[in-house]
Amino acid sequence: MTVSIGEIYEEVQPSDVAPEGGQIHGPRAGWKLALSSFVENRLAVAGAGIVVFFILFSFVGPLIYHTNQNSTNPINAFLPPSGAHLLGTDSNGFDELGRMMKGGQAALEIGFFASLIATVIGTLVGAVAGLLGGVVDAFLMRIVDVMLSIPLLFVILIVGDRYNGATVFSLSIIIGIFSWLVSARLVRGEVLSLRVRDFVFASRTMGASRRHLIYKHLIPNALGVVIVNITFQVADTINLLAILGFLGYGLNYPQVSWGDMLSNALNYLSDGYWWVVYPVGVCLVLVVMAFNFIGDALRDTVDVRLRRR
Amino acid sequence: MTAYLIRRLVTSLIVILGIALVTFLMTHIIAPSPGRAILGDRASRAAVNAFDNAHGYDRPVWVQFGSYLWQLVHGNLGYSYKLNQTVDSLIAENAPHSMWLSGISVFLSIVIAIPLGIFQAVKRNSVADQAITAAAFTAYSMPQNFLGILLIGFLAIQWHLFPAEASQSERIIPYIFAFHSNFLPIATLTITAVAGYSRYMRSAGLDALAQDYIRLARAKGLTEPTVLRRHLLRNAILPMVTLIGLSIPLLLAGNLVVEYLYNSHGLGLLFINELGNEDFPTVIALTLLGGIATVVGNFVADVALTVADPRIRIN
Amino acid sequence: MRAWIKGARAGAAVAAGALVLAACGSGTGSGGGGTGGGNTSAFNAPGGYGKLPTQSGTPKKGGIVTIAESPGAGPNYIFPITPAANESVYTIDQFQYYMWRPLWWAPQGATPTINFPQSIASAPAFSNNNKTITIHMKSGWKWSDGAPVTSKDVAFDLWLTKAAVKISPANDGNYTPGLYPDFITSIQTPNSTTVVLKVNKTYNQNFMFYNQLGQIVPLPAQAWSKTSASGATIPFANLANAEKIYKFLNAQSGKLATYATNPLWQVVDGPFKLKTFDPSTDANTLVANPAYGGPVKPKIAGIDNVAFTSTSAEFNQLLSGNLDVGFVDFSNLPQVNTLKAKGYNVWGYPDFGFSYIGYNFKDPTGDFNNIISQLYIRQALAHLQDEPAVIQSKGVFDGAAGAAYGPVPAVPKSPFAPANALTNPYPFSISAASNLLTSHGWKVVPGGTTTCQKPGTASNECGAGIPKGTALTWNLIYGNSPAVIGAQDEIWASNAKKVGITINLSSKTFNYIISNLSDVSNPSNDKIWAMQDFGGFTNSLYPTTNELFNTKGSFNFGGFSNPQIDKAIQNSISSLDNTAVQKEIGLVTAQQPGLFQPNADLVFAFKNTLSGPPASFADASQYQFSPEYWYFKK
Repeated sequence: MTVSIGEIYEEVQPSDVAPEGGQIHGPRAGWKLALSSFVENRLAVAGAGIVVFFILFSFVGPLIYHTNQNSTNPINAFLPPSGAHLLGTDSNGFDELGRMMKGGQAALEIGFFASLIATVIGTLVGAVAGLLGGVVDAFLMRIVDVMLSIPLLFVILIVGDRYNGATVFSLSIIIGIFSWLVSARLVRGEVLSLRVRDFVFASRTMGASRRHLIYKHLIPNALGVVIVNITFQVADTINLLAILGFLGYGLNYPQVSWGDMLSNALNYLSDGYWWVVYPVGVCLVLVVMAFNFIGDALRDTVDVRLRRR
Repeated sequence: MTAYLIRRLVTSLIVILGIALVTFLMTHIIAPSPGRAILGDRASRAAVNAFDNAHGYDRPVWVQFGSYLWQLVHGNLGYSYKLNQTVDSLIAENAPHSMWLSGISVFLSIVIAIPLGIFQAVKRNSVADQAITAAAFTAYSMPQNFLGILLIGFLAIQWHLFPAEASQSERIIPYIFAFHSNFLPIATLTITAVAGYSRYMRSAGLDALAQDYIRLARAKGLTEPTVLRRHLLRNAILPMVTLIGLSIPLLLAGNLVVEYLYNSHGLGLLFINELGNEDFPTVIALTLLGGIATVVGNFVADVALTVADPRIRIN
Repeated sequence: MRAWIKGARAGAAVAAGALVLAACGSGTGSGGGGTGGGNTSAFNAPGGYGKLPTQSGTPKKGGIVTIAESPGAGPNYIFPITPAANESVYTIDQFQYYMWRPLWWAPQGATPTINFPQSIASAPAFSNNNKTITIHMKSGWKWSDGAPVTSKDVAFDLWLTKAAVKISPANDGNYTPGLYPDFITSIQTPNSTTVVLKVNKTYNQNFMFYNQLGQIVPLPAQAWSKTSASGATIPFANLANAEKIYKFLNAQSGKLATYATNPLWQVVDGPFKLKTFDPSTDANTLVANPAYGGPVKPKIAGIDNVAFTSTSAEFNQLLSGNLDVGFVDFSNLPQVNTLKAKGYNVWGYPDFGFSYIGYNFKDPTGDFNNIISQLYIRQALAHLQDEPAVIQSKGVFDGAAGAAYGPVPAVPKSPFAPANALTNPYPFSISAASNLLTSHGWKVVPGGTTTCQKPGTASNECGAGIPKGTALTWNLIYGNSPAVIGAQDEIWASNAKKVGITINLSSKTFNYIISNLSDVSNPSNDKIWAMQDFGGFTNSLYPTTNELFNTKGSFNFGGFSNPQIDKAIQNSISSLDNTAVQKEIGLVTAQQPGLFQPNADLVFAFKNTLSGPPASFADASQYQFSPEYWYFKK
C-alpha cells in the first residue's frame, strides 16, 4: 500500500508502457527543456518554495527561535499560546513551535533517507531485471509482484513492532527496504522501452560496449523516471510516517517527528489543547502537498508523450 | 483473450503462493515459538518445549510450510492464542464491518468522482475546475489520520454534529444502518478516495475529449449531454475499473487508520489491537488476507478491463 | 496503569499470590464496622482525586447497574481456580467474586486489609509453631441451592487446587511451587464449621494468613464434586478423584458460550448469579441472588457489565450518560468537569501496589551491571525523580496519583508500611544526585556525558568493575501504553541528562516487554536492556517482595541480589516475627532495586443517581466493585 494515491497513477498511466516513438532528445537538451518547463509551472515553483521554507524552518529555525527542547518541564505542560510560547507548550512542557521545528527535521530526514534507500534498491533491481531479462527478470518481477501485493503499512507495522529501535536511521531503513518496489518496476519498464529504441540499437550496431550503453544511454534516460519517483516517494514516506506516529509506532523520545506529535491528537482536541494538533497537521499537509506538486511537474517535464501535446 | 486470462490467472496464483511464503517466513522469524507467549512468564523452558512439540513448532521449516499451506487451502488461517479463538472466526466477526465501510465509501466516491472529474474536464481551467483541483490536491496530500482529526475536531468536538466514534454495534445490520454514527468514518474514507479518483477522472476525461470519436459525435450534431453520457462517460469509466481494483491496498490501509481513529469494529482495528497484544498469528493472517485481496483486486480489474476493451490485450 | 498489566497478562502481576487478595475489597455495611465506613474525608486525602460519593437519598428496590469493563479485558474464566493464562482482576474480582466469595474478604474501602464482618470465616488460630491452623466458619452463609457453606467446601477447594497444580503448575495463576497449596500436609474437617490445616513447616503467621490462605474460595462440593454433567457426586478427598473433578470443571469453564446456561455455575454463595454471557466480547449480566447469606443483601436487581474496545469508546459512553460506573482514563481527566456536569461523581485513589523501572543487574553493556550494583548510583537515580511535579503535571497524572517510594506506597496506607514508605528517603534534588556522583569519583558534565575519573573500590571511587572514562549511558525500554508510563520516564530521563546521565528511551508493547525482557527463564535477552518499565505490580495484602527481589525470586528478572534483603525476605515468610515484612520493605525501599514511581489513581465516575456507603464505592480503587451495597435513589 501507499498512503497517497500517487503510485496508482504510475501504474495506470500509460507512461510505463513503451511510448510509441516520438521525438527523442539527447539527454542535455532534455534537461534544459525540463528545467524551463518546470519553472513555467507555477505550482511546482510554489512547491519548491514550500519545501525550501520547511527545510529552513526545521534546520535553521531553531537557531533563530531558541527554545528548550532538552529538559522537560512537567509543571508547564499544555500552556496555551502566549508571548513566551508562540504556539503554547506540549505534554512535556516543551515549546510547541520549537517542537515542530525538531519534528520537521526528523520528518524531512526520514523522508529523504527512506526515499533514497528505496530508489537505490529499486533502480538496481529494475535495471538488473530489465537488462538481463529472461529468468532473472521473471524471478525479480515475481518478487516485486508478491511484495507489492502485501499491504506495506501492515508489514512495516509488524516489523516496527518487533525490531524497531525507533530512531531516524532505523525507521528510514525499515521504510526504505519495503518501498523500493514501485521504482524497481518503473526503472525496469524504462530500461525495457529504451532497449528497443533506435538509438540504443544504433549504438549497438556501431559496436558500443555494454558499459557504454548503460552509462551513456540507459541511465540518463531512466534518471527522469527515478527522480519523479523519488519526489513522490518523499511525499509518501512523510505521509506514512504521520500514520506510523499516529498509531504509536513512530520515533521515541527525545526524538520526535510530526506524526508522533499527533499520536494523542484526539484526546488533546477533546481536552481543548488545539495548539498541539492543528499547527503540526498543517505542516504535514503543506510539505506533502509541496512534494506532490514538484513530482507532478517533474513528471510532466520528463514525460515525452505529454511534451508532445 | 482466454489464453491471456489463463496466463493472468496462473501468475496471480503464483503471486498468492509467494505471499503465503512471505507471511509464513514472517511468522517463522518473528514468532517461531508461540509457547512462551501462551504459557506465560512462569512456564519452564521444558513446558514451552513440550508445547512447541505438541503443536509441531519444532518440525523442519519446509514441513511446517507444507502444513501451513495445507491449512490455508482448507480455509484455516490459524489460531489466536491471545483471544482463544480461530482467526477465521475473528475475521468472520470483523470482516463485515470493514467491508461495509470500504464498500460504501468506494461506491460514494465513484458516484461523486466521475461527474466531478468529467465536469472538470469539460470546464477545463475554469475557476471551478481550479478550485476543485486545489481541494482535491489538498485532501489527497493529507495523511488520512489528520483528515479524520480535522473532521472530528470540528464536526464532532466543536459543533457536535456527529459522534466522534463509529457505531459500536457488534452485529452488522445495526452497524449498517447507523448512518449518523458512521458518517465521519465514511466521510474520511470517501474524501480521500474522491480526491484521488476525481483527479484521475479529470485527466481521463481530457484524454477522451481529444479523441476522434468525440469530435465525430460532436460533428454529427449530437447534443453535448448526449455526447458526454454516451461517449465520454462510457470510455472514461473504463480506467476507473482498473483504478478501483488497484486501490485495494489503499483501502486496506485507509480502513486500518479510520477504524483505529473512530474505534470501529473491523479488521483494521483488530490488526492494531492484536499487534499490541503480540498476537502474531492474527496479524500475519490479516496481512496474508490483505495480500490476497490485492491480487484478486488486480486480477478482477484486469479481467474487467480486458472484457470491456479488447485493445488492452497488448502483451 | 497496573490495571493494564493485570488485565493483559495476570501472570506478571502476581507477586506471591498477590492477585486474589490484592484486589478484593469491600466497604462496610451501613451498620458494619471497619475503618473506612462513612468517613469520606479519609479517601479525599493526598494522593486521591476528586470526591467520593456521599450516602444520600432513599433506597429504591431494583434497577440494573451498568458497569464498564476495562477495554479488551473482560472476564474469560468462570471456575474460581483460575489458570495463569486467564487470571486478572477483571476475571476474578469483577466477575467470579460476585458469585463465589473468598473465605476472607478484603480490603476495607480503599484500605488494603481484611474486612472481617464481610468474611465467611473469622481470623484463623495458629498453634504448634504456626504449623497448625484452625479456621472457624461463620453460620448463615449458604449456597443458592439451599445447602450451607461448610468446612467441606473449603476442603473441596483445597483438594481441587492441589489437583490442579499437580496436573500443571500453570493451572493456578497464584501458584508458587512449595507454597500454597503444596505446604498443606493435612486437611481435616472435625465439624461442619471447622477446618484444621497442618503445614510442613513454620511460616510467618501474617504471611500465611494475609498472603497465602487468602486464596481460599469455598466451592459447592455438593454440586460440583463430580466428573460429568449428569453424574453423581463422588468423594473428592483424594488426589486421583480431585484430578478427575478438576479436569471436568476446568473443561466446563473453557466453554464460554455455556457460562450462563450451565447449571454448575448457577450454584453460588455470592450476592449475584450469572444471567447472560457473550463469549465474543465477554460482556455479561448478573442478577441478584435471592438466597445470598452474607450480611448485606443486594438492593439492585442486577449488574450489566458492558464490554468496550477502547478507553475512548468507554469515555464516550460515560459522556452520553449510558453508564452508571466507569473508569476515567488519564487522558480524559481534563474533561472531568464535563462528566460532573453530566451527573457523575468522579473519584480516584491508588490501588495497593507499586510502579517501578526495573534495573538489569545482569546487563554487561557499558558495564551497566557494575554501575547499577553501586547503591550510590541507585540513590542518585532516585534523587533525579521529581515525584511531586510528575503527579501535578497535566501532561502526566494531572493530580491523580499518590506518592510511592518503595514497593509499599505511601497511599493507600497499608498496616504493613514501614516509616520510609511514607516519607521520601531520596527526594528530588539534582544537586544531591550530582554530589553523590562527584563524591564517588565521577566528573559530572551537566547536559553532557558524565564519566568516571577515579576507578577503584574505595569509598570515594567509582566502584568495582567500572573503568576510567566509563560513561553513564543506558537504554530504557518502556511500555507504550498507557501513555503515563512513557511520560514519567521522559521526565526522569530529562532530569538525568542534567547530571550528564544519558537514558535512551524506546517503547515496546507491554506484551513484548513481559515476554522478552521480564522473562527470567529466557536469559538470552539479558544483554539488550538496562532498564525496563512495563508498569508495576499489585501487592498482596502482605507485601513481601519474595518473588521480585529475592536472589532466587521467580520474577527477579533483573537479577537483583542482596544477602541482607534475602535474609529479611526469609524472615517475612518463615519467622515468628510479626513485623518482619515492615523490616523487609524498609530495606528494599532504602536499597532501591528499581526506581519506584508514583502510584497512579484508579479514577472512576459514579452516576449520582446511584448511592450507598462511601466505602463501598472506595472499594473500586482496589479493583473490587461492591454493588450489593449500592442502590438507586428514589
